[in-house]
Amino acid sequence: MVQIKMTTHLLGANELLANKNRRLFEEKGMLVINLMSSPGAGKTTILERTIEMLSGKIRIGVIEGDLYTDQDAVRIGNKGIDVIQINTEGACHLDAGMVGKAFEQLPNSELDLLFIENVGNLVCPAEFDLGEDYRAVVLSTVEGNDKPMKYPLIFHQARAVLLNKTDLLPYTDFDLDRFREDLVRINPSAEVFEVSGRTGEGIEDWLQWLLEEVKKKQLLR
Amino acid sequence: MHELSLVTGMLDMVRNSAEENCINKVNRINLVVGKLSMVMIDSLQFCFEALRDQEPLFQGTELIIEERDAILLCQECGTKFILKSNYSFLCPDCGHANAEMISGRELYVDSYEGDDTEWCR
Repeated sequence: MVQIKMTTHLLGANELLANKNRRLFEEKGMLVINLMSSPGAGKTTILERTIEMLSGKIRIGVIEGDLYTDQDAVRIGNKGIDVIQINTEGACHLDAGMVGKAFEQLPNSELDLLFIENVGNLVCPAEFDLGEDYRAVVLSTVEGNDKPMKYPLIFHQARAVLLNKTDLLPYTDFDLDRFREDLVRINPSAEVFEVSGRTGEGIEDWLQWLLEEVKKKQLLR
Repeated sequence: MHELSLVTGMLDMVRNSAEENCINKVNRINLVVGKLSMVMIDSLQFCFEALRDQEPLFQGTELIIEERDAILLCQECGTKFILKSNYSFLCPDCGHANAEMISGRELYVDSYEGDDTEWCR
């Protein structure tokens, strides 16, 4: 009987590919945001708003991740920007390899800002580095204020948290104070944006933050 | 949900290493999992048991999982603290929000044990 020491990370292969993506994005001076949420929280609607309001100001591209269908890619494509759909066909998250391949297929890779819309899921995507600069998590008011406590890792890692569907607040039991308190404990340095993708309320602050971060990334090039 | 692909990757890694080390039977795999990794221990075990019997190398192999607490180190006052169920990343001593996670995200094969054969050396 022999014992072999390994200390090999199970996600080591993904880490290598993520670092490769990161180097490529850095060379291009492109800000990359990995956008995550549960299904139906409003990632695509927020993206549509964001693209509409930033069109003409910066060059944006989107990689869309879904289990099946290209419905989200069609919605984003209708806004007149380049989008590549990844269908994971059952897999609950995107990985760095999928993103690298999708990026190669983008017709124009000279971008200021690339969004990667992850598969709707608050658990598995948190484990997979895609080579992004920041993770942004969307939570909608109708899901309840307890989600940061129930899914701490994804909220802890987020650079930005968007509370969406604030227009529906009066119709829910969402406890805004409790949400803010929980988030400060889990991730005190997160940027928090309270928005409504549907009405556009609060989106301006999110855009402002994005534009500042795009500028910072370009200066690092 | 991603446990199956993690276990598949783990078996690939151990298989490659076993070939290099002339091991024809793996008796035990020692895996370390941090409490803040998004992995279900039961699900890992279940997937492992479903996959191991498909090849002789892993027949009857035991998967031993060591869970590690999430431990944070405050960058302001140097206090080390364990992340409790309220998920507060604030330092319990000085209250600052600047703590680095020093363990809790582990997900690696520490080692494995097996029977080696002399003839392949």
